[in-house]
Amino acid sequence: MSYEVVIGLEVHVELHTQSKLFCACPNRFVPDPNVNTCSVCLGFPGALPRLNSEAVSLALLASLALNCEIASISYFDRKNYFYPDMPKGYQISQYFEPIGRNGHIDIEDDRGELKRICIGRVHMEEDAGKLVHSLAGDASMVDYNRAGVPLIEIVTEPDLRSSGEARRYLEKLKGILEYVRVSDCKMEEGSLRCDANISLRPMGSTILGSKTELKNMNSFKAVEKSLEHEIRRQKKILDSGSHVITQTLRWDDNSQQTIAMRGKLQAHDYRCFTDPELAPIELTEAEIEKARSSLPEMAEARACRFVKEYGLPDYDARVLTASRSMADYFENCLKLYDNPKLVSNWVMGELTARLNSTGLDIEQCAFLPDHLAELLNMVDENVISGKIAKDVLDKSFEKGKSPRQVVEDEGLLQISDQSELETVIDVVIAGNPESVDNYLGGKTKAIGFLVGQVMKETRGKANPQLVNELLVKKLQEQQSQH
Amino acid sequence: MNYFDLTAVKAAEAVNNKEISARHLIENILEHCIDLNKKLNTFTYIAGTEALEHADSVDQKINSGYSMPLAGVPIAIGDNIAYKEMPAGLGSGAFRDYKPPFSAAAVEKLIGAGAVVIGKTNTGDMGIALNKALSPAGPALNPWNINRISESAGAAALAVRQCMLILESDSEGALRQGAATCGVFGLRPTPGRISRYGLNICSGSFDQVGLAAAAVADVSLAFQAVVGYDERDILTSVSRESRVKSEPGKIPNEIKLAFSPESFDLIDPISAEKLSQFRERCSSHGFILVETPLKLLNNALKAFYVITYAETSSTFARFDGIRYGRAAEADNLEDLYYKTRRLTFGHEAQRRSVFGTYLLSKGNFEHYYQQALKVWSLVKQEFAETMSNCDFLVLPTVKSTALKESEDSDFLKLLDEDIFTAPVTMTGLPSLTLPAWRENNFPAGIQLIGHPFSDEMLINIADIIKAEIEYPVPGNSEGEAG
Repeated sequence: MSYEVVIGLEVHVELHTQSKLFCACPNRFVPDPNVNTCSVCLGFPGALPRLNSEAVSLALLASLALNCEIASISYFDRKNYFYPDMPKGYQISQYFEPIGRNGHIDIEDDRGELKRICIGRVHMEEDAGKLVHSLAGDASMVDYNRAGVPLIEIVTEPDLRSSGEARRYLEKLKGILEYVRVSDCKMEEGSLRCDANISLRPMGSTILGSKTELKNMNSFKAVEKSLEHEIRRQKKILDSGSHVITQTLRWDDNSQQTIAMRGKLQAHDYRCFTDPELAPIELTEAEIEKARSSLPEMAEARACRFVKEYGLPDYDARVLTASRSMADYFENCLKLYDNPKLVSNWVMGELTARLNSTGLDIEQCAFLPDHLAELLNMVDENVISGKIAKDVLDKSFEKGKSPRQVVEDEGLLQISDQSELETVIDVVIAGNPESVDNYLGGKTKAIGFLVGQVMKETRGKANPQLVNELLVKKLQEQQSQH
Repeated sequence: MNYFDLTAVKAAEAVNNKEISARHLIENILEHCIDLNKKLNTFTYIAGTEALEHADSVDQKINSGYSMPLAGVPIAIGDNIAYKEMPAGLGSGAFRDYKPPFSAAAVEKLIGAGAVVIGKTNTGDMGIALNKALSPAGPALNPWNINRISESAGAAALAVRQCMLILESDSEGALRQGAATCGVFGLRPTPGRISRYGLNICSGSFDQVGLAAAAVADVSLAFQAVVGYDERDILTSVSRESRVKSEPGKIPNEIKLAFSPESFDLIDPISAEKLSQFRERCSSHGFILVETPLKLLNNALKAFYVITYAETSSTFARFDGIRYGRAAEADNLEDLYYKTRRLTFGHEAQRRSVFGTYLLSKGNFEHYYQQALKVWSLVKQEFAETMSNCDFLVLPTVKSTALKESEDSDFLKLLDEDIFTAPVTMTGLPSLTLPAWRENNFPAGIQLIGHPFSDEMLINIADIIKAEIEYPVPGNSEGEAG
C-alpha cells in the first residue's frame, strides 16, 4: 500500500540573552559545573522568579519573524514532574497562553514548489539542568548551569510530508532565527534541539495514524536520517497488518536506527496550572508594532535587493544572504570598495573556503570587511598582485593583522621600482639566450616565458605589466644593437 | 525601668535617647524569652551572643550620633522566613540545621532600621499554620490559655513580651488569628506592600509576610520600615505606583464601618453576642454603620483550600534533598524522592502534596481547580461590592476562642476555623486584627478590612477604635503565663 507521511516538529531554541529567564545568572556555557547558579535557579525556599525582559523581547521578535499572532496577555504556567535536573520539581513554561500563535514559514516541497508550513505556537520556557553519569556508573551528578536558560519552543502543525521537507523546514527556521539574532541555533551545541512526531496513513486518508516521537537527533542530517528510518519501520509494520505503537524513540547515531526509550519519558500528567509567583506578560499594540518595525530585512527580501541594487546573479545573492552575518559582511565591504561582483567572488570563494577549513563563523573571523576592501584596493593600486593577495588574505585571516600591515611586515610589496626590475631583467636575458633569440626571431610569444622567469626571480612580487614593458624595451634595444 | 511594659516605639525612643542601651534591653529580653519558652514553646531558635553583638553595634551607631526608628527593638521572625545568621527550620526535621544563603528582604529592612533579631518563632509543618500542622518542634501555646495551640507562635510571644515585633507569614489567616486569640495587633498587608523575598512560600497566590505587635503604634512603625519596592519580588512593583490611599476621616462620624449579618451566624453564640456589643459601641461612638451581605464565605473557604493545596503540592516538589535540606539514604532515584519527602514533610504537608496533586490531575483540574478559580473571582467581586459601600469592613477573626488542643484531630473542622480570614486573603484586601473584647477572660480580636493599598489608613483607624473602645491590655497579670 502507499502511505502518506505526516510529520510535525517541535523545536527548542535557546534565546541568546545576557542572563537566565528568571534570575541574573549569566546565560553562557562554562565547562565547570554549577557555576552559573543562584538561589533562584536552584529553587531555594524563599527565592522568587522575576522575568527577564530581554528574553521576552527576543521571543516576541522570533514570533513576529515566524509570522505569528502575538498574545496581548500571555502567562507562565508550571509543568510539574520530578527529575533531578529540574530544581523546582516543575518547569516554568507557557502552556495555556503562548506568546505567539498561528504563524507560518514557506519552504520548497519535494517537487520544488512553494509550500506553507503552519506554526501552531511559539512559547517561552526555562531549560533544565544536565545529568552527568560517572564513567564507573556508580554516581549521577547534576549540573544546573543550564537550568533556567530561556528557550522558545516552536511547534508546527502536522504539515510536513517527507524527511526532506522536515530538513528544509529546519534550515529555513534556523536561517530566520539567526537573521533576527535571537539564537545562534547550533544543533551540535544544543542551542537548537528538535523532536519529531511522525505517523503514516493510507494515501487519501484524512485520519491521523498512531504516531511515534523521535528524540536525540543532534544534526539536521540526523533528523532526516532518523525520519527516513522511521518511515521505513512504520511502513513495514503497517504492511504486515500490525499497528504502530505510540512511543518515544531515540535516534542512535552509531547504529543509525531508532531505539525505544525506557522509563522516565512515558506519558505524563504534567498537572499544568498558572504560576502564581509570576505576573502575566502584557504587550501593548505599540510595543508589538515597535518590535515588528525593528525586524531586520529577511533573507529573501535581501537577496532580491542584492540582485536589483548590486546587479548580482541570483545565485550569488542567495548564497550571500543565507546568513545575515555574511550579507552584512558583504554590504559593509561594499561601503569601502564599490565592486559588488568582485566582493561577492572573494566572499563566496576565498573567504568562505578559509572559514570552512577553520570552522569559524564569519562574525568570529579576524579578517574584517574593511580588510577585504583594503586588500582589493591594494590590488587595484598595483601595490600587490592578485596572486599575492591570496597569500596576504591567508596571513591576515590567521593573524588578524590588516592586509597593508601584512604586506609591509612580510615584504610582499609589488616591485615597481624600474631600476630594481631592470637588474633582474638583465640577469634573466643573460641567462636565457634561447628565448631571447626566439623572441628576436619573431616568436613574440617567447616573452611570456621571460616574464615568468622575472616573476619567479622576484617570488611573484614584480609588477607583471611593468616587467612586460621593460622586457620589450630591453629586447628591442638588443635588436637595434645587433 | 521595666522592659516588659515598653512598646517598640518607647523602647526605640529610650535607646535613641541613650536612656537604656540596646545591649541591656536585649540581654533582659533574651533572658525572659528563654525562661518563658520552656512553657510556651514559641521559639525554635533563640539567639545568644550574636544578638548581643548586634545590639552592641546598634549602641555604637547611637553613640556616634545616629538615630534609628527601631533602635534596639527585639524582633522575632517566623522559622519559615530566611535570615542568614540563623537556622531556618521550616517546621521540618530535614531543615533543622539549614542556614539559608540569604536574608528575607523584610528582615534586612527591619535590621537596617535598628531592630535586633532575637530568634525564630515556631511554625507548623513546612510553615503551615501551627494549629493545623504539627511540626517536629511541637505546638506553641496560647499564653492566655495553655490548653490552646496558638495559631501564631509570634503572637503568643508578643503577648508575653518575649519580643516586641514579629514578622510571620499569613496565608489562610494564622497571623491574624493568633493576634486575635493572644490579644495583639496583626497586619496582613495588601499584597505587594511587603516583599515576600525570603519567605518559604507554600501557596504563591495567598502567602504574604505579615507583621504583629502588642501596640498599634508599633505595627505602624514596623510597617513604615518594611514597606516598599523590592526588585527581588515582582509583586512589590505595585508599591512603585502611587496607589496608596490618602488619610481617612479623623473622627468616627466621618467613617463608614460595614458589618455582615453572616458573621453573626457563623461564629459561636457567645462571640456573636460580643460582636453585637462591639457594633453597638461603634455606633454609640459615632461611627456610621452599614450592613453588607457576604454570602460566599463558605464557598470561598472551599475554593481557597482547593487552590492552596494545588499550589502547595507543586511548590513542595522542590524538596527532594538534592540541593538543600537533608537527603535520605536511598538505592535509586524513586527511592530518594520517596524517603526524602517522608523525612521532610509532616502529616499535613504530605496531605497537601497528595491532595494537591490529585486536584491538579486530569479531570480533577477541570472539576475542582478551575471551578475554584471561578469561585475566587466571584468572591473578589462580592468583596469589591461590599467595599464600595464603606470605608472599612468589620469581620470576626476566629469562630471561637474556645478551641482546644484536643480538637486538632478534626481536620475539616480546623479548616472551617478560617472562614473569616481565608476569604479575605483571596480578595487581596489589607486586613488588621485588633483586640476587641474578652470572652471568659480570653482576648478576642476582630478584623478590620480596608480598601486595597489602604494599609496605612487601616493602622490609623485601628488607633482611633483603640482610643474609643475599651479592650484588654495584652500580657497583663490576668494572662495565664504573662
